[in-house]
Amino acid sequence: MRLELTKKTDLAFQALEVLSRATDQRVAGPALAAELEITTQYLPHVMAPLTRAGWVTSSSGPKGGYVVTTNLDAVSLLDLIEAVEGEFDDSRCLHLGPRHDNDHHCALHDPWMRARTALLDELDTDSLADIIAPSI
Amino acid sequence: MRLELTQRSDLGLQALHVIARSPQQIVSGPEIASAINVSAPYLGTIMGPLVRAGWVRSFTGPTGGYRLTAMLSERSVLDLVEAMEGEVDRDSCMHSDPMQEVNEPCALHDPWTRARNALLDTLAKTMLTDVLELDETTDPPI
Repeated sequence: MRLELTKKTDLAFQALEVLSRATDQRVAGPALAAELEITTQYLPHVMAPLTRAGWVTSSSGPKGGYVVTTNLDAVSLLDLIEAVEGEFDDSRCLHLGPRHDNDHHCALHDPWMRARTALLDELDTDSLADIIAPSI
Repeated sequence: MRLELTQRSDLGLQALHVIARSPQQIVSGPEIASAINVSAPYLGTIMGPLVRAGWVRSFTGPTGGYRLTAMLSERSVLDLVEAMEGEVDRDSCMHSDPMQEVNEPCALHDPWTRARNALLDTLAKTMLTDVLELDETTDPPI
């Protein structure tokens, strides 16, 4: 069973970390890409979910770049994962085939839902500001 | 993000339930297949992992079938999921990038590991007899 995040979520987190330490100053795309050790071509893919979520704004031009526009105390790791990887599908417990009858709950439904809730609750506990280690 | 079991885990559990409930010790393949509503060839792919994990033993021949050899009261939902879907990788937090040779621990390693453990602990604490509402008398005499 795979229970893993993708690299994209980790990169998005690192980008927020870099931007949050830049305190209100724009970080130019090339500088941010260099910090993340990714290409400038890939950077927009990493940043798109963050701008879509309204956490970061980007501007173009010589003084352009990215800036954090939200308080990371109010964003949880769950929010970040859902922004980057899509929402956790909350209605189904199983990856079911076409034979599936919606009224039928599999026997594993309840324990799986409890386990899933435990994971989601844990992800919702800490804010990104908590997770970002102090820079000193 | 997808966080789901596959149907294999559920079918594996249903197959165990059919054998545990049956008055016979050995239940034939066609009987199990029809009870859990799968084709006979597909049943083989459900029973294979259970046989390999030592939960059931298969007997060939006209009176053959499957016999339960595990105590369901001692097996958890996590055991079942791992038997059916493969072991949970507890070390890596990220889907590793084949382009990268070195996998540094990612910044999200600790919070993700905590969250994953919360899920796994819950699955490990739930015994199959609780899920199936069976009592321990359905365990095979060993």
